[in-house]
Amino acid sequence: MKKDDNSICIEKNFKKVYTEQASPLRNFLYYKFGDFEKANDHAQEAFIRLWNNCAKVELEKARSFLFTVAKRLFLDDFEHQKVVLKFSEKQPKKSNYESPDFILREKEFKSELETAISNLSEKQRTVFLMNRIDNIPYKEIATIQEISIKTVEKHMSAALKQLKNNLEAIGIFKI
Amino acid sequence: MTNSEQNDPLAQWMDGRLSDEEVKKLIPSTDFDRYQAILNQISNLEPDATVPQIDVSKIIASSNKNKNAKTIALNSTRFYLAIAASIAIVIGFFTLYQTSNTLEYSTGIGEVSNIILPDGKSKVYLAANSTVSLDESLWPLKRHLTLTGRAYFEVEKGTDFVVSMSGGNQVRVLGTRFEIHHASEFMNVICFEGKVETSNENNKLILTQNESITALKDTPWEKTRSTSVKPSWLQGSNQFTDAPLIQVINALESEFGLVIDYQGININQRFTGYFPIGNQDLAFQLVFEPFGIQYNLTENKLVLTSTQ
Repeated sequence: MKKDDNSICIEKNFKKVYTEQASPLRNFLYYKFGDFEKANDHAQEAFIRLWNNCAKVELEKARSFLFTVAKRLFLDDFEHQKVVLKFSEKQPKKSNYESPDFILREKEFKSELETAISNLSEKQRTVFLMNRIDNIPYKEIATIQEISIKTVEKHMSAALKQLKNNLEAIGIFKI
Repeated sequence: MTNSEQNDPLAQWMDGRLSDEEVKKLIPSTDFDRYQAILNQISNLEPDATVPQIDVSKIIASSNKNKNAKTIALNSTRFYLAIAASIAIVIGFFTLYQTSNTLEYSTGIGEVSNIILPDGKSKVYLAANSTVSLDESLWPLKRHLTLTGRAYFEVEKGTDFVVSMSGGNQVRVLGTRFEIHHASEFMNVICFEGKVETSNENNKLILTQNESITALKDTPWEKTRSTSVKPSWLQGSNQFTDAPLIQVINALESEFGLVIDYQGININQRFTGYFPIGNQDLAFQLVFEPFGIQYNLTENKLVLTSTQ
């Protein structure tokens, strides 16, 4: 008889998974597909399915279940369109980092960066933002995306280089 | 050098395995500064959205029924008993369901009321003589309601929000404030904020802030501008801008509890102006006199005739 305290059917456990995963999951869908409302809907649907299948999914597998289900739901619904991501700032910028080498016009920088992020390939963008915004470690990103850690690293540095190159190309870093 | 190349210093640096100092030795310092600037900016970003958090207790509540069916190993007697019991439960559920999950809200003649919808945040203001109904159990999954009459909606972002009317007309909402005034002869939709998609079998139009459509039966839909910020009937008057007369007549009927016979006039004429709530005679004067329409009230029936 399997009767453990780790069952997702226990409301407390489900809520914990929810609290931890709701926003990374939604963000993940957003990075991948660029439609926030749909990301929200599909994230919600994934949680409903997790709850309905709580007896079959182990607590440790909950995240990968959620991400996989949400991804499939989204793919079924997805009309291929150009992804345009928009971000808001968590808090007013503290400008403690200034280099004499370039002057950043803050606003312009943010909006050009948004464009540059939107122009990354879907894989690079998703991996990069999961790590940089949601602070998900490489190893866990690898599991979620079903790729190797080496590939995650490759995407990470390639994304960073490409962002820099794109911003340089439009002259955002003034010398 | 080749070694560090293979190990991808940038990826290691972002992961905290290489310090700033270490990575600075491996790449040009201008590059380092630029990478640093990009990462600083990104770490301060979050997806741009005011969408509220998903409510976990709703998820649990919405699918709790499934939860009652637990899998237990059964011997045969218990098995049949269990089957009998489940059938009873299923039947019980069905009867319970049919009756208890549809919520209906109505207003009487001259009444206005406001309703908080089951998501706890979205609101509907019902104008006089109108009804909305919805299925509460489905609400967490699909926010769908049916409207007869006139109402103003303030919708929190979340799952799809759809208002259906008779005649296959539908307004699908993408998170917003809007008003619908509908009767079989016309439909008027005003979007005050956000975005709504209005459709029926033949038409589909997306309205954004301050856009509205006035659709008469069997005429093509067109967008017009609207300047108000909230429906006037919420403030005790009925304001119309370039509204077809049939819409005004419908509002008068709901406001004063009348049946209006409009056979003798052209209901497609456009009316701009207002009528006050609670003063029937003044309302008739303000609406009908400009068109040279004569009106004759007997009991609750108002007969309109054209003098032109």
